[in-house]
Amino acid sequence: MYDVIVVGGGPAGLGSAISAKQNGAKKVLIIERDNVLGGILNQCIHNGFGLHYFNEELCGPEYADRFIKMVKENDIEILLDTMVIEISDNKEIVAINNQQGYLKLAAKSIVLAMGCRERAAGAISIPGNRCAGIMSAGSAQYFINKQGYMVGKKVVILGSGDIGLIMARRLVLEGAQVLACVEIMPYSNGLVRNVVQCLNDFDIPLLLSHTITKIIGKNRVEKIIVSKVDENRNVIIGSEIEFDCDTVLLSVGLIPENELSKKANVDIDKRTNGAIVYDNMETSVSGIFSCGNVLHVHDLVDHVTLESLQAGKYAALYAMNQTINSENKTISLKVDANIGYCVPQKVRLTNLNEDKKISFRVKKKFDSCTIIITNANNQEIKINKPYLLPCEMQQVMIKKELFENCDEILISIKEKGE
Amino acid sequence: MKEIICTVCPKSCHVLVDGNNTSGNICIRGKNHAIAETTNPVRVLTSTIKTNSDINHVVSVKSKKALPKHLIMDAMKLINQTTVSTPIIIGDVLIDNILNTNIDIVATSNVYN
Repeated sequence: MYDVIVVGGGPAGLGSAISAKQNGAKKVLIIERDNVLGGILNQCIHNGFGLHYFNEELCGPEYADRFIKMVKENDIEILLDTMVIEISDNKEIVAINNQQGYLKLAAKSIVLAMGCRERAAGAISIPGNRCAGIMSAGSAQYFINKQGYMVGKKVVILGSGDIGLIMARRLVLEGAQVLACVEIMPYSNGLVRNVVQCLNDFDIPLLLSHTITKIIGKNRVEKIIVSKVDENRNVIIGSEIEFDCDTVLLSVGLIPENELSKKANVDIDKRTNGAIVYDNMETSVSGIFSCGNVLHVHDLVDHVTLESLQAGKYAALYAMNQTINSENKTISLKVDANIGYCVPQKVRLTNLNEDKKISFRVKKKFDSCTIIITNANNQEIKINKPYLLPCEMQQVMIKKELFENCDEILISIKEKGE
Repeated sequence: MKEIICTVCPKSCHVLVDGNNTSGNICIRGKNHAIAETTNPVRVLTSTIKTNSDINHVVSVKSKKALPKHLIMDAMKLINQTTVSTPIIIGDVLIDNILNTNIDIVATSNVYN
């Protein structure tokens, strides 16, 4: 019997396993489907990781390596090349690999750290041919950075998420021509820093309010048609532009991989597509915890790490029977219409011994504005911000006093002058 | 006069630069960044180098410090002409003093075999 089993060996899994061990769990296991630890960081060879956590700028594999070393130093068991296929709500894990076959593993507590997968071509129904040369930006990243294969010569990128922008630069550096980055929204979904350093530096046009309306090609992509869209995202007839290209990369969003969570009867938040969690990162199923991109999509790995340290700590405490998680008294965290979601969604009254860090994401851009946190007794915390952006997750600390004697907390945004 | 989109923080000010004078920035870091962008823009280069391994065909690398922006494509040419032998450990210098900049290209991942 394991104290804590962590599903997933990416940044969230590594962080939670280390934290579980350091907080007293004796037998900790990481199960990873790939043949190495580190997850998607291994293919993110660009720099900019670790500025918050390590106070220095690291590349993805360097950031992962620091945690992999800590996992090894902490005597944590690892199962590579192993796929978890089922988690039951009594915390029994079914996994398979080609050495041991079918494995049944029991744990006192489980951390879900499976991360995200990319939204694929099928999910956005691009009209036209289904030929070779259409792939997600992350797949292209894996081919180029891990396997050393080039994916195309003339490329158009659909969507302006950060992975798409970073791949635009990577492709140009490796000798491809990136003809355009096409974004259906009137603004980029990526960080401005990436637009500047990945597109502007290489004179790659960013076509806002545009989308691909047809892909043409027999065996391989030969040509695509790009059209302008109006404010309701309807295609404007007559605005077609043709691009002769051989490759289309999709950077159109990430989907938390919660199939296992659902099998374990974990309640899912429709806004995040991740689990609903309490302040200790525990899901609706007692003893099952969740953190990282499988809980909600982060923009910085540093935040994933900090969240996973919490999840690992509380998973360890649960395994050692040091927490009594009675569900009867909870405080709900609500957000107003300007905010997409917040994590955690609930706080337990029994855990009110410390301040709580709440993550949330705004739905649109705000210039100077105020974050207002109100409880049912009309006590308020106000935080002034020069700006808030949808592509930048916000975190606020809520003092424990604000939770006393109330059953609901509201987070809202007020624009200046409102 | 040149317009720079500041990348120091996510606020992304549009800064107008005229010699040593700037407008549109809200902090001193923005001013320094905008002036550097108009006089000597630099970037850390990250890429991959071929290995002699049958299993791991490439190793990820970075320039240890930021390179002048105009040298990036020349540096890529050299990087793509290079093959290195495994094992490689993070921090190993794979190309030293690239293009006489006094900046090394170092490994950012471990390739054991």
